[in-house]
Amino acid sequence: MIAAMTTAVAAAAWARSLPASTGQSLGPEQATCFHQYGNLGQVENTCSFTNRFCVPLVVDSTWHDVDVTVTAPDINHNVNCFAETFYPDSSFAMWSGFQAASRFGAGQTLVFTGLSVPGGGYMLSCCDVAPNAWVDSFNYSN
Amino acid sequence: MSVAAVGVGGYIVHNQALAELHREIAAARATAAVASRPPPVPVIAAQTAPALAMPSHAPAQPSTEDQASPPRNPEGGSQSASRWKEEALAQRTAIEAGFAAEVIDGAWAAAARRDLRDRISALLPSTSSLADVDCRASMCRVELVHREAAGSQRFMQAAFFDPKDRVWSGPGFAIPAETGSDGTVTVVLYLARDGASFPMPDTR
Repeated sequence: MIAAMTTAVAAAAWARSLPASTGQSLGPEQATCFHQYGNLGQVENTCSFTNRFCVPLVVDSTWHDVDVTVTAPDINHNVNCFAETFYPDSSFAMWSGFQAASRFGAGQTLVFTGLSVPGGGYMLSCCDVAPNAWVDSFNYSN
Repeated sequence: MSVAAVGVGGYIVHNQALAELHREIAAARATAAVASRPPPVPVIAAQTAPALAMPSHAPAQPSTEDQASPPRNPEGGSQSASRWKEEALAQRTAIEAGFAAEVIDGAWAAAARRDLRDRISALLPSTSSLADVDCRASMCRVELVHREAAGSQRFMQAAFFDPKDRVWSGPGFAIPAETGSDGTVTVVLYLARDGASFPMPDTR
């Protein structure tokens, strides 16, 4: 019971959760590469080359942690993600650096902590998705 | 260039002057923070961070020894615009002051500075210039001058987000760009070493 309560408290810390299907490819010409996989909002890259997929994360405060859950079938078909924030004029404010999956064949959560969004600015998280790899979801504190 | 009229005594307060005042306040705070600090301690993570090389595709583990995860917004929802601005300014001050206070890690700093200078110079268009690169223990400070804002954006996209041209694989923070009287745009960046985190403000 205590474990369940701890889990419940931990789950409540995340204010927002988005399936990957709320995002889109970085370029319109790559839009046909990403297909929803299953019925849980996961998105798979069905093209034969790596494409970038991004999700806007709506925020109304400064500090955020972002968790991105991805699945890479193997090391040669990996997913490499980052999170970035912008000033209101769309100039870059802060970025996390890239993280790639280190486990393959199952979902893995990549964690980006301590991202700050300037007042009136916004946040994105993007993944470079190799062929047959997919992005599951985005969870972030608010 | 916008001008706000303040009808006190007929004086007109220039918005740019106000912005400059804010910058001076932030710099003064940074100086005070440095002056009051105990002997500086390197802020690099306990584990050995890899030397700057090609962008790493290994997951960069956040340092859990140096920094706790930042606290959630205690109000649980939107925060006031003024508080948001204060927090942004506090973070900028913490990073600037933290960088100034770092003890230089000689071997890493020299290699990182050289690599950054070479990679950035190779990527910059002829209309931009690298004004300064300075590396300490866990961060580097880079100052760039661009002829126009669009050029700055293109450079940033290539330098930090293009898998082919990326000059740095760790986290980064950009001070709001300043536009000079000649229209040039000066951008100051702080780049954290792989495995390191940026200093956080005391208010958090």
